Amino acid sequence: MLKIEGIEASYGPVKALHGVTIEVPEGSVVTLLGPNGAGKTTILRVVSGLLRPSAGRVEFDGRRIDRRSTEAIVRMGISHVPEGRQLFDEMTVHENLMLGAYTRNDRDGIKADIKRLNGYFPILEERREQPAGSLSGGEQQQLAVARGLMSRPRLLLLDEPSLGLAPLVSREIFRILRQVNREEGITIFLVEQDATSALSFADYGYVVETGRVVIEATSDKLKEDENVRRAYLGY
Amino acid sequence: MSVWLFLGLLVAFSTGIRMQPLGSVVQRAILAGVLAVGLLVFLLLGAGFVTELFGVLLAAVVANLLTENYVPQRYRIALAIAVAVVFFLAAPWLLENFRLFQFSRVAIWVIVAVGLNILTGYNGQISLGHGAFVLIGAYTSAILMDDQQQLGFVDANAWPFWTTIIAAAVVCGVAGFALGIPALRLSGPYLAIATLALVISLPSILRKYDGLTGGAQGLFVKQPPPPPGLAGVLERDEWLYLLCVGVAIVMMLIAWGILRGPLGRAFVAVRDSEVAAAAMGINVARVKIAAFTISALYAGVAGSLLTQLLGVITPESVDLIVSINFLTAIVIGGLASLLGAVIGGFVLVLLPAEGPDILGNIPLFPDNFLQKAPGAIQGAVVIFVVLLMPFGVAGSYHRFIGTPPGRIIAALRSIPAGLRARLARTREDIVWAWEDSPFNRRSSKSASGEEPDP
Amino acid sequence: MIEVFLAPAPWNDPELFGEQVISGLATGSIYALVALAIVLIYRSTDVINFAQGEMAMLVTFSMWSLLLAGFPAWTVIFIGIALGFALGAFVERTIIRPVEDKPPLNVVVVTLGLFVFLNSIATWIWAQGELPKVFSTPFGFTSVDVSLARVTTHSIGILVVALIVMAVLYLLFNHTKLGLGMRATAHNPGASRLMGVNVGRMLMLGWALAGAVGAVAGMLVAPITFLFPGFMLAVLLYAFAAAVFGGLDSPPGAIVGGLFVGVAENLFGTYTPGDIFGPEMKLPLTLLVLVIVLMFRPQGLFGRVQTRRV
Ligand SMILES: Nc1ncnc2c1ncn2[C@@H]1O[C@H](COP(=O)(O)OP(=O)(O)OP(=O)(O)O)[C@@H](O)[C@H]1O
Ligand SMILES: [Mg+2]
Repeated sequence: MLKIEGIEASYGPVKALHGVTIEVPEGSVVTLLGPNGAGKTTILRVVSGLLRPSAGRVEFDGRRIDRRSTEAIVRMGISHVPEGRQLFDEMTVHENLMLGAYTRNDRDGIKADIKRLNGYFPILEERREQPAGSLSGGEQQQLAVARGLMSRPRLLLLDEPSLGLAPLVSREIFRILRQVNREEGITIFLVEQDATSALSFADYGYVVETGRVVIEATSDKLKEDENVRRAYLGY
Repeated sequence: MSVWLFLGLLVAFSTGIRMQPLGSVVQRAILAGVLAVGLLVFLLLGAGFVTELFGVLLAAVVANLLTENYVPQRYRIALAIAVAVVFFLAAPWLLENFRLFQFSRVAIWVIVAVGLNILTGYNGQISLGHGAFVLIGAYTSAILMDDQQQLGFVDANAWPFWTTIIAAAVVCGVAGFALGIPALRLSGPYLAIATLALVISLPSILRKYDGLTGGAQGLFVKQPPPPPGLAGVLERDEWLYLLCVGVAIVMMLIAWGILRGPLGRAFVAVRDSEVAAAAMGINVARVKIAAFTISALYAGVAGSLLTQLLGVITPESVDLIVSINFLTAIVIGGLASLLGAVIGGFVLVLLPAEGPDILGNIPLFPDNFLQKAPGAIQGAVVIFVVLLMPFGVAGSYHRFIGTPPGRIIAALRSIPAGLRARLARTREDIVWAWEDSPFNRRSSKSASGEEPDP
Repeated sequence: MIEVFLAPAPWNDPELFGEQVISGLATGSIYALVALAIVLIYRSTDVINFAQGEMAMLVTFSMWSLLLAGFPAWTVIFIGIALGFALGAFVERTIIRPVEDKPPLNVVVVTLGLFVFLNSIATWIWAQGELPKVFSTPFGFTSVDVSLARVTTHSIGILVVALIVMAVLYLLFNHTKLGLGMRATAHNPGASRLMGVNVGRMLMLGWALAGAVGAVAGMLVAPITFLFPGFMLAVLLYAFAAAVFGGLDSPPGAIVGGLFVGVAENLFGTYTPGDIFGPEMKLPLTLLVLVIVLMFRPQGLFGRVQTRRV
């Protein structure tokens, strides 16, 4: 479904990606691991069109997307839940969800989706008219994921959804994501620091270091891998 | 005649500027070529004082590019200073009086621009209100030099002109200090509007309290005659010219000294990050107030000189547009650069005065446009310079000079590819816009996964 | 020169006071409109548009020419608003966008350059004949009695138009998808892009709306001050005062600020002793109040404290 081939990208003079190739098959969950500053966020930014790669190509459904505007990419069915949530803090929870559905025009469908997501995240119903900035960290992360789902994506890009969350909350979010993946068939491309959760959730994993893919394998194999275990799983 | 003197001056002067990083022959040749073509275009566009001036400037840079490697720095600087001194001393006999007057004004605006650059360029605080300080300085001088009715309670006699320069500096310094304290609490846009309020209000205030300021008529002063020793040698205008230029040079030297010292480094540190500066032990508030004080002091000195030069000062002498132009000048010239302030000062005086003459030689311009709308040219030039040279003239110059030759060549090489990519992108975007549009049934089907994209 | 001019106290002449307050509210709502335009632009692009008044001036002059050419008034009003809209969009696209990621002072200087440019162009085109030019109002200038005081129909017209404009903007921003996108862009442009909002278009639209609102203000002011190239300058200054007073990023603040400044201006002009202050000092006094307010609330009455940017 998503094919990233040999992309390179820079921030001004600093090159952050040196030829990264990744594939995310339809319906799967693929995770991306790596130390801080490895370029994980940068890869997602390239996919969602926030950053133009200087070389390589990105394909979604066989169509090149690496030169498209973010707006077009969202409309094609890719949704990016960014690092650090990036909610609209001063707008209400409801308005944030409506913004998630910005590219859609089916009023009834949107209403139905909000209802459905309230099933996953009951807290959002309670806080509907509250400014997003007044939610707790865990609630905000739930809102970010819900907002990402509002565009009815077929591919969900998640950047560290468990960052700064209590283990219990984080586990809850992963449970919901699994449900979303299984029941709604949404493909998930996940960047995560918490390698244990990520690998138990994902089918396949990539490890990037300093802008390059260094290992790729199925999650089970990665869990066995000596280096991965030492560096990311901590045992 | 004057042109040849300029030529000597500018060649010497620009050879005094180090162009060291410009090492490669290729880069020098490119730059020299570009400038030579520019020069040619300029000369073709027409004659006139500014054309000559710019032409000479370009010629100087070309000459400098070609000789720098062969004449040692020491000699070039010595030569530059010698020629500069000779020129400034000789100018009264070489230039017509109205040019001298023009250059005196350039000198005065350069002083303001240097001061404002200390505040805005080096310390990062914006002020649209420096015209107010200039006016305050000008009125301080005028009131003190008057021996009629004003400020009888201070001194009924006229003060010697030079003491009033100092007094204007002190008064404005105090005013700047007083404004600097509330300015601490205001962020950029609020400060810009607050200082704008100051410069707008001052003329009404000056008109209202006419017992002191002469109201709308303003104040007339006796312009200082040449000092006794020079009385036979110099006319009054020539003496005023030398006074303005001399003071401007002294003020620039002082600024140069301040900016390379610890205070100058503190200005920059505070501008770049107040938090980091505070962590380094810098007293941020004190530094910001100091910048305001010094900056206002410079404007005060300039205002005082303006009084001496014009012999009259009214509430309209420095209006909103002039005040805005100070900021424009330093941004066009280049922020945080003394050279930028000098360039800005020249632009400020010469652009409105000479701009129409230069552009008048361009065929397609409607005739009366240039006479009736000089501001249009000024505004357009300002906008274009800022769009094309985001770091000002001086900034672009330094940047170009500081870029390694390889980078420039690579950049030049990449232009065709970049253009191609741009064109291609536009085309693709159009195609995609179609693909994504609701009118395209094929795409909406394939997007829902029913039909693979061919 | 020295004269003591002090109007009778409000309780002795409530009618005068009422008139001053109502006409203050009318001019104040013009300031509020221009302040709204400034706030619209500041919220979406972080730019103070110093050329806002001159853009409106250009549009109003164009309308004058159209009226002279015999176009019907309502057509001209419509064209004027459209022109303001287009001018705003055009300015954003051509000269603001290229400096958006440059040092912030550059944008300031670009709008200042635009100010000088537009002013000069208008002088060139319209200052040939006699100035100022008379600009008529569809509301007329008849005096009418409202319960307390006599006010002109034009003042009432201003109040009504301003209310309509504010209502339209309120509905647009709070009850349409477009408004949602514009607000989102103002808060967090990066995240807005991820939502599929066309951020560039929203910014352009912000400027366009501001241009249109400014044009409305221009055509409301012109009948009072008459038309000359600098006629919007004083309005712009009071509008800046209003916007800063209310908080540069707060639309309700701009409205409250505008009304406050309008009334304060009139009261300062009427009720201060003529030998010390008097009418010609009302601008400095109003600005003084503004500066005092800023001392206590540096972000204006309703402004957000900036914590996001470092
Ligand atoms: N906006 C930016 N400007 C300049 N450099 C950047 C920017 N964003 C990221 N970088 C650099 O690019 C590299 C990759 O950053 P990226 O954010 O992709 O890392 P990451 O793998 O997501 O790290 P983390 O786990 O900390 O989120 C880093 O070296 C970083 O310094
Ligand atoms: Mg990251």
